[in-house]
Amino acid sequence: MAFEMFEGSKTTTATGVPLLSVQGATAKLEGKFEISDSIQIECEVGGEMTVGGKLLIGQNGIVRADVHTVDAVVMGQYDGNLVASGDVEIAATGRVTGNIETNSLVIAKGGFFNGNVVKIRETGHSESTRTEPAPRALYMLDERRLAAGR
Amino acid sequence: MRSQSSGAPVTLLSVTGQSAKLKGKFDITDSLHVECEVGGEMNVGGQLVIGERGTVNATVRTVDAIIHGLYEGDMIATGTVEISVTGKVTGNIETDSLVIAKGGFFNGNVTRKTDAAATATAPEYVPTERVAISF
Repeated sequence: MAFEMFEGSKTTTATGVPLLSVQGATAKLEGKFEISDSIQIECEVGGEMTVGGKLLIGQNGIVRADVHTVDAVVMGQYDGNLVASGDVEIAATGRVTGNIETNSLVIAKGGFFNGNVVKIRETGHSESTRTEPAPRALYMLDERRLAAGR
Repeated sequence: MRSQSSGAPVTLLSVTGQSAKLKGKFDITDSLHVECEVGGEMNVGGQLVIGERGTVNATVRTVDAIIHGLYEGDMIATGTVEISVTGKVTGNIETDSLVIAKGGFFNGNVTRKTDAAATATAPEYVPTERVAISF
C-alpha cells in the first residue's frame, strides 16, 4: 500500500522529472550514492548510500549497501547495515539481512528479518538525560489511566 | 506487478528530490535519464539522456546519447550522439554519428568507430580530429 502512495507523490512533485531514472529490463549499480530526497529501487544496487528522505526498495529491488537514511521501506531484498533516523518498515515481501539502527521498526507478517536491531543513541548526552523522558511519559499515562478509572 | 503488464517501460530506479550525487559503476540494459550529478563508469544498452540539470563525469559505453547538460569524459557510442543547444561536452567521443546543435559546445576528439577499427590494422593512419566548437 505504501508503494502506491509513493508512486502517487512522485508524479505530483513540483519538478515533475525525477533526478535520475533508469528504465529497462535489468540494471546493476554500484558505488557511492548521495541523495537529498528519495529513491525507489527495482534493480540491483550495491555500495554506500546516504538518503535524506525515503529509501524504497521495491519487490524486484536487491540492495547490498550500507545505508544512512531517514525512512526506509523494504519490499525486496536488503543486505547490509542500515541506519535510519525515522521509520523502517519491512513489508510482507521484504527480506532483510543485517543490522538496523533505528528507533522505529515495523515488520509486517511474512516479512523476513535476520540480524540485530539497535536503538539510536543520542550522542554526547549522558545516560540520565536519555532515560529522563521515559518515566515522565509513563507518569502521564498513569495519570490518564487514573482519570479514566474515576 | 505494474508497468510490465501495460507495456510501458519499467522504471528500475528513480531518484526524486532537490539534489543527488552518484558515483560508481553502472550497468544498465536499457535507458537512463540523468538530472543530477553522476560520476564513474557507465554501460548503457540503450539511450543515455543527460538532462539540462545533469552533470556526468564518467567513462561511458552506450548505444545512443543525448546531451542537454554537462558531460565530461570518454564516450563510446555504437549509435548516435547528439549534443543539444544547452549541451556542453568535454572529452573524447567515439561514434559514427555525431550531431551538434547550433549553440552546443564540444571540446575534444571525435573518432569514427569504423575508422577506429581500421587503425588496428593500419596504425600509421590517425583518424582523430581535434575540434572545439562554440557558436
